Amino acid sequence: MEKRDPLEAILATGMMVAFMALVGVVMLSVITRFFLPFIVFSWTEETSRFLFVWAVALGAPCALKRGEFVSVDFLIRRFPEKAARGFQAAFSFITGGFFLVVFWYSLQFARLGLLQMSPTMRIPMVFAYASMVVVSFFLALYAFRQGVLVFRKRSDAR
Amino acid sequence: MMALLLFLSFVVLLLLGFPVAFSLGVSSLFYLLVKGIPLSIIPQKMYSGIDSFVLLCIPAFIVAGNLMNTAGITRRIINFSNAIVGHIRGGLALANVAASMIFAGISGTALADTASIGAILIPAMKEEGYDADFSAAVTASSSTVGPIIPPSVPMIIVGTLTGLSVTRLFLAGAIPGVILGFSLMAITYYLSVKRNYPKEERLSLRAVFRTFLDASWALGMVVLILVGILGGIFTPTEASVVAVVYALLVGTLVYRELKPGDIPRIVVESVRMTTSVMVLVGLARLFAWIITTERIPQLVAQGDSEHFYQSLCGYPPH
Repeated sequence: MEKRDPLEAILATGMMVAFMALVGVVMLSVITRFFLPFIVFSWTEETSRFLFVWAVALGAPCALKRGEFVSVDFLIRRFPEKAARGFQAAFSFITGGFFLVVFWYSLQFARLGLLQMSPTMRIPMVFAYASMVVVSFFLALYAFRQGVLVFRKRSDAR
Repeated sequence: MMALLLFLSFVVLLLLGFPVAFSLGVSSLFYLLVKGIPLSIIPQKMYSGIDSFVLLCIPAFIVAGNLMNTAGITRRIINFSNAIVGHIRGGLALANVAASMIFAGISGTALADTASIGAILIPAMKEEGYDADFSAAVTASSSTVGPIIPPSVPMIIVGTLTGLSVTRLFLAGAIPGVILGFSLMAITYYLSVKRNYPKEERLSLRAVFRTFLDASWALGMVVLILVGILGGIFTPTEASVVAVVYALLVGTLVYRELKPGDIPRIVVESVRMTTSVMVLVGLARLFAWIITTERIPQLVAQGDSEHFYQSLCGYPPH
């Protein structure tokens, strides 16, 4: 049995809220366009894109935790188990390192968004760009966690 | 060692079992470091790759499909197909193909078809004496009509990338999709006769009509989606969201098999599954940007082997 992970619950809930909000916004634009053509909401397309990016940013770390990222494993499956596990641990740390780098530069990227305004809603783009900070941080976190878990399992076996 | 480094590190990481998305990212990082390109390009390209209105149809179609399964919509589509073709030899296998064709009019991916119909029909077929491999093969191959009969996620993506009209692409897929479905039925029938697979009891016309009525809300979904897209009421991307709302409403209010308590779990699992694909799309945008700046597509197209070599290795051949 795996321990409950409150952080994952928060991320998954955020992802669900963003997705359901997106469904609501898109429906709103379809319904008003068809039934109330005199009302035009220009902000719906942009809002739904922002919500989508956020849903991805919050969901991807959960997907990483559950090993849902696709990989080609026909070679690694033929490795001896110990070597395969070593690779797995190393890969988790490389992934973690990669997203730490991305995290650092995402901060810069998000800072650019302080000055930029979104074209239709006129809100600072930092609200959208910050999703890259969040996704890279939590991907790095879960990647390192996975690396440690795999590593520990190996030393237990010894 | 420029682009070559990019490709080699990507292939090596991929073959060693590194997830595809991160292989793209890490090999791009190597390249950027060697070339001295500012790394702030990474979040920038990743963001612009994911920031697309069209892509949101992927999680939405998956959510709609999973809601339909729990809501009993999928089961009714299968019952109806079975009522129509079940009495022929190989009945359940034919019903499998027919259900895939109906399902194709709702969902835009083959994956959703396979998962929804296979989960119900493969166990049922095995129980009735069909070979397991045949049951799986019929499910998998018939689900390929999913992206050919509109709506279709691949066509939406192709249309966006190339500027072709998605609605016209959809129309182009409709007839070939139906022909493909009927051809699959023909070969299924042939194999079923040869292997003497069972057939179902023939239902009275009245009983067939009853399954039709029972499935009418499910079949109405096909009509709504197709009329909506082809009639210009909503875009193909919006259709995926309409499908989610329709499945929610029919599941909770009409069939009442979808319990409100189940909805969050279904949404979370379906959306989470697709987020990993979106991260891949984001990092692929970065990878593609590097390939473009190296002018690799042009060099390959021009057959300019000398410059191609130079851009690949960083120095001219001799």
